[in-house]
Amino acid sequence: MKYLVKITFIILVAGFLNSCDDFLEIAPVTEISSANFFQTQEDAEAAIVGCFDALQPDSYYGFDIYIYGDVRSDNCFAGGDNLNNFAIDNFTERATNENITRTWRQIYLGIGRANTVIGRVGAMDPSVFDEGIQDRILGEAYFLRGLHYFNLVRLWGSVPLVLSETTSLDEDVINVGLTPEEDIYAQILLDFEMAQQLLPAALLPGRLSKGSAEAYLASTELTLGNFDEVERWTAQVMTRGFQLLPNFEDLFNQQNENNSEVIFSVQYTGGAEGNVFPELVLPVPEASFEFLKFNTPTPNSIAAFEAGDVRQATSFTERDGTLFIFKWRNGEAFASPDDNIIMRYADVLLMRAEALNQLNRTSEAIDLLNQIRNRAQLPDYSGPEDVTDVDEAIFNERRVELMYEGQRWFDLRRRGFQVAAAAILEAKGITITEAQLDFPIPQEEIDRNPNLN
Amino acid sequence: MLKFLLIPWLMVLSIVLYGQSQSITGKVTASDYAQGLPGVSILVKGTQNGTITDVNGEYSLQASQGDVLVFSFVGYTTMEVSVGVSNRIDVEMELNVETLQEIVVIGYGTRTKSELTTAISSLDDEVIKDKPFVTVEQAINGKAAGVQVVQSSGAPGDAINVRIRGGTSVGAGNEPLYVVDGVPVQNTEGINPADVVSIDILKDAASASIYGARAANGVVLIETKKGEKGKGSLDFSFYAGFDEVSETLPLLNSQQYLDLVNTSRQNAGLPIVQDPFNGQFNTDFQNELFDRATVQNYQLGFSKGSDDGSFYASAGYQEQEGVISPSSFERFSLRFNQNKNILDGLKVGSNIGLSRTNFNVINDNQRVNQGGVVLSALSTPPIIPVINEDGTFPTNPFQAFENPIAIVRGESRTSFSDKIIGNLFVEYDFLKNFKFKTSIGIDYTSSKEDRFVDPFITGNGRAQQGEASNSTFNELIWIWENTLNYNIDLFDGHNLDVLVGGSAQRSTFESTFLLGRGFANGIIPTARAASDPIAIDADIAEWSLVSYFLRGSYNINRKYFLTASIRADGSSRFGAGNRFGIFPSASAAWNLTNESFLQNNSFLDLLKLRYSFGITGNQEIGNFNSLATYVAGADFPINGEILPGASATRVENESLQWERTAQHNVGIDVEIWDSRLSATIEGYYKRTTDLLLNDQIPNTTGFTNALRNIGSLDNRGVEFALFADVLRDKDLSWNIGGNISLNRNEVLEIGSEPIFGGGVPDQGNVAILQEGEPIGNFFGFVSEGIDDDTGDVIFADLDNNGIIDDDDRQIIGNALPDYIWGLTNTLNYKGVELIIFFQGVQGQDVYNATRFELENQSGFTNQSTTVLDRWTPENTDGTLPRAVFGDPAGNNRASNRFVEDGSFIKLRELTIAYNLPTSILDKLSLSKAKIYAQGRNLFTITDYSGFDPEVSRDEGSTISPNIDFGTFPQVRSIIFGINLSF
Repeated sequence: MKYLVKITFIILVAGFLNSCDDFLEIAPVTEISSANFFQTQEDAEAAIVGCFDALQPDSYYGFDIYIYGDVRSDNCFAGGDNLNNFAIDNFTERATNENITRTWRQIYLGIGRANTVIGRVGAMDPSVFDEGIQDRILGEAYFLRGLHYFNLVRLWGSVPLVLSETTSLDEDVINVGLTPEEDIYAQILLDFEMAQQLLPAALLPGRLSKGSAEAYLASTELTLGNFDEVERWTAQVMTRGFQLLPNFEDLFNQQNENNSEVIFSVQYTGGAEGNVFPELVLPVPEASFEFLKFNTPTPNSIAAFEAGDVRQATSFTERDGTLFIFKWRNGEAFASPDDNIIMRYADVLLMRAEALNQLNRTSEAIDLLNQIRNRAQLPDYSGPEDVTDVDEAIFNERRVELMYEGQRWFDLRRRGFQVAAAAILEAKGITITEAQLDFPIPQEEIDRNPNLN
Repeated sequence: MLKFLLIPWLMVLSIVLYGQSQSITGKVTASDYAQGLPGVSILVKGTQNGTITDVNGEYSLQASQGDVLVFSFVGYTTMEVSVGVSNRIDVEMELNVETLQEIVVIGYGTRTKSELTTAISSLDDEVIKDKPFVTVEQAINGKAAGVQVVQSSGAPGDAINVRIRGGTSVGAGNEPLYVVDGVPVQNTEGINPADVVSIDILKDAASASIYGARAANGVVLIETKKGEKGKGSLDFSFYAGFDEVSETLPLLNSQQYLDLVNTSRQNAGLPIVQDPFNGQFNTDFQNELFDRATVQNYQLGFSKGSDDGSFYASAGYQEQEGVISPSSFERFSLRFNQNKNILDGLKVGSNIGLSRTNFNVINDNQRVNQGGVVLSALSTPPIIPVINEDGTFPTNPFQAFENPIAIVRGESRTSFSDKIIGNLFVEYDFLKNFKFKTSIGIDYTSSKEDRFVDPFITGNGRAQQGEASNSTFNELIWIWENTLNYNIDLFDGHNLDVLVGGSAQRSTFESTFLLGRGFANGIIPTARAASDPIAIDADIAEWSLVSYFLRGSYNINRKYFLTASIRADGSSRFGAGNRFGIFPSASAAWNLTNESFLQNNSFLDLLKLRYSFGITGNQEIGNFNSLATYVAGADFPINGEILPGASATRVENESLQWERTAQHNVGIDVEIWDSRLSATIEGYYKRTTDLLLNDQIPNTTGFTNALRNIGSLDNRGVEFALFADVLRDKDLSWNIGGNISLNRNEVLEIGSEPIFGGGVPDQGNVAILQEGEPIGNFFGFVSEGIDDDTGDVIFADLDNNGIIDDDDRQIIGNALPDYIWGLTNTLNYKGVELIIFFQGVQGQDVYNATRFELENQSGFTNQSTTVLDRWTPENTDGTLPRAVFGDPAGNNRASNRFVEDGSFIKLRELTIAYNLPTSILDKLSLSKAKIYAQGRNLFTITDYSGFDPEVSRDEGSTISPNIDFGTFPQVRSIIFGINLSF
């Protein structure tokens, strides 16, 4: 009996020792370890979809970009009841502002996902892909990374430039210092150019194409004041088959999503893939809930419309004496199916008009301006035809055409401090400082990264 | 606090002599107790023939000449007396100091208290029986030195956090390991407190390190009841009573509310608002929401024990409603504990508990716009009615936030959890010194949670057309343990005890989740009736742990005690090269009272010095945290078609490994005056290194945080426990149990930057973890009062740069108490029992973010009446700043304005009980009957202005404890109960 028990025990212990390595080797079932991911085309597709997913939340294109584009500008007041939005509206934001912090976080999350796709999908065996798919996925990733940095540099100026997936927690790797604005812009141009080469030429509804990258190359060059380049890239876009919708109102109709004027949009379908923004800004009954709505139009923005402009009815509405922006139509309890259109053909035409005018091709510029005006059922431009006056006319047209679409602050900012300060003073009576062209780097980031101190 | 557990006396076989049976009578007295000693067990040696003494110590039984009578009684030396010619045998029993010692359960064994070399708090069932507890942890509160129990809200069945000698971890959990009848369990949820007979808390590393990798926060060993030798018993107990909210907060009425809102709007240059109900209503939403709640409990138990085995079975039902309807807790439980000697030296047994727990939960700890019920009750304007005439519920007319009644009626969250916790064991004694034990244990949980948002009652529900989610969770953890024990008396009083063992444990869990919207009606509350499927998920994961352990104990003449142990644990959760951790310990004790120079001392009953050192580990992190994994869910629609997306969860970290805590402990045990006064003093120092920290990394990495082994922290403290038998008279006894403990904590290293936490909406992070400081610090601006001219708060410009910015924040309070204490007085007078239990926490701060919600004067929410004394041009001495919509001056930024002293003294328990006398019991054929009334938390002495200073939104968070943010308030209870034993 003694031996029996001893032997049993020895067997038990020996059994443990033998099997323990296997016993402790447990692979995840419902998560995929990175060693097993990026093997198939489906993996690569899922990863690039994850990159687009990063655009959707309210911290980015789902809301905040409209706070920065319009509430920060002369177009909108903050509305609503959120102190963070008030601060951005009133130019009293602090480095702890929750919107500014969450947007920073979200943009870098998007950059991280794009970097991963660029690195990992780029390293995959091309034979696992159907024709053109690997290039398309990489093109989309470069486009999105360029877009993220374009937003970062226009909101904060100098920012850390991260161009590869984070695969280590070494302090040297993760604490990245600031890169000067001009180097960021150089990288943005490189990314959009890579996207332009890799993306397909064909227009597919809701998909990026070469024209999308070219439109953003134009936009980046316009921000930098390189009008020749703007002319070159907009000319390219004009060969891609985009066109103005005849009826301005149709552009924002839920039935017409991904129409031929849309160059890039952040898409939603409602439900789990719903858009919160329309509910935040629309009045009842277009929205589901009655509360103080956000991004309310300034009187100054209403006054920018000429009489007879059909875009007024599409852009804003007045209910019981209160103004609401109105380019979206379905609140759906914070889960709207409405898309957010980020780049459209009218924008490209106006960029081109602005550049041509600066290149002393003013009459061509006025032709483009008139295309936009005529669609809005306004007569041809009839003002003085010198460069300065035409420039101002194009810039005002740009404001009205893209009103409440999250663009205005970026336009004011690229025209320089004087222009931005004058516009804010006129619309809101607030005197801003030049430093306020950029947001402060979020305190949270400074707290985490000693190289930003 | 000492307990006198019944020790099962092993009977030694002896030759049974047959002879003429005669009736023997006698009286049993004791050396310290001249009157008759009742309840002494008398057995004729080697037979089942026996009896017990009556109230006067008298007995009578049949025995033959030559028989040996064995007299045994807890706390006294067992005596054997041969039956001679006389029919009368009177016995005086000797008090036995050794057996007076409680039996202490240690890991994989037991010791008497005098043998202990480590720091263990032992609690008996006095702390738990007849109390309206739903979890075992509640019983520990205030009863064990060095153990802080935080019940962070008054929600029924809410999780309770236990900190043994301070928190050791930031990212890997601070809860102790719970072991029920030898089976390590995930939590104590399925354990019916009424089944518990003892709780032993292993506090120092040397006692806990036998549980190695999971013992860094201490180990709580829970033993459930076993059958006791002697007459079988049938026990029935019942109590019922009610809970009510201990406090409500004074809020503005309708007129005051409108005045305030419009003043604040005018001050911000905004148009004033009108009351849409034209002053018809003045609703007190607290009164509408809080209600008196009933509690009830039924417990039926059977037990019987004999020389070759014992049996205990029980059934229990417990129900506790919440003071916010419909929150509730309900549990059904069954338990079967048995063991039997089936062969010579071979014992088999099992301990099995089954339970079902049902919960109804309401949403607290949230702002009203997130559906927080408590903040809704506090901040919904009184100008609206609870319910409209058409049956709909009005919202805050200016913000679409739901009123609290709408929230609780419009959304139900119910769940159940089924648990099986048990083991089956075989014990084999062989060669007289060896004992082999193998045990298979399981901890099985199957639970489901259903949430349903009615499609009509609330605006949110209408907008979603109703929403239902159903989630299930299923986990089986099995553990197989083998131990071999060798115990031998060597020579001259030298004793050696060696334990060697191994265990293998594995968990497999699965969870599912589904969410649907679009309900045509509110009749079918499950996703079946949903027309829109929104989300589905299913998760499967496993973890495993392999362990080997060895322990040796050596003692010389019960004077010198030495114990050393080592445990090796391998965990699947860590990187391939870092799976195994080694956890050693050593401890020693010197019992001076057994030295010859103290042998003749009549004053000192025990004087023992102890020292221990050990290392323990912590592995309570997620299952695959060393791997970078991709998860589904990052979906995006392209042209109306939703495409599946995947995203990375974290940065890979192959070097992830155990968190380690090394602890030194010194202790002194003293007992004097026939053990009437006993005291234990402990001092400890522990350092945790390789902290598993969910480090906040730069967002530029694409991730917000990463789990890393960085940093270290210290805890050191002193504990003092005292027990005094002030009066030991037969008719009147009085004892006092008390404890006081203090713990000091310091974060030594957590990486280059502080860690912020405790985010409060619109205030940002209010808590900070920083090197050189303790955990639990609050962080913010420093208010220097209110500017008489502007009515705005003057904040200190700490860096003197002329502007108030984020560099002007500093530590503004700390959530850790300076010391905690508990004091229990128990009086017995002729069957009447009185228990008075006070508990106190001194020197803790609470961040009252509920008050921020009620005093910000910058929005449309209702406010506290304290805002009536705000600054106005006429009242420049107001205690609060001026009211301005939107708070442009930032008066409400996180600051010391919201930090309050949360020290308190509570009358935790006041019980008066009556044990019926034998004369009545005999008539009713009862062996015991007790009726009692009990009040809990009858009053609290505190300066805290909120509902209750026992509050923590983030529960046991290391970074941000003690934040009050619309937390379910604590309750006061009164119950009446009856216990009957047949």
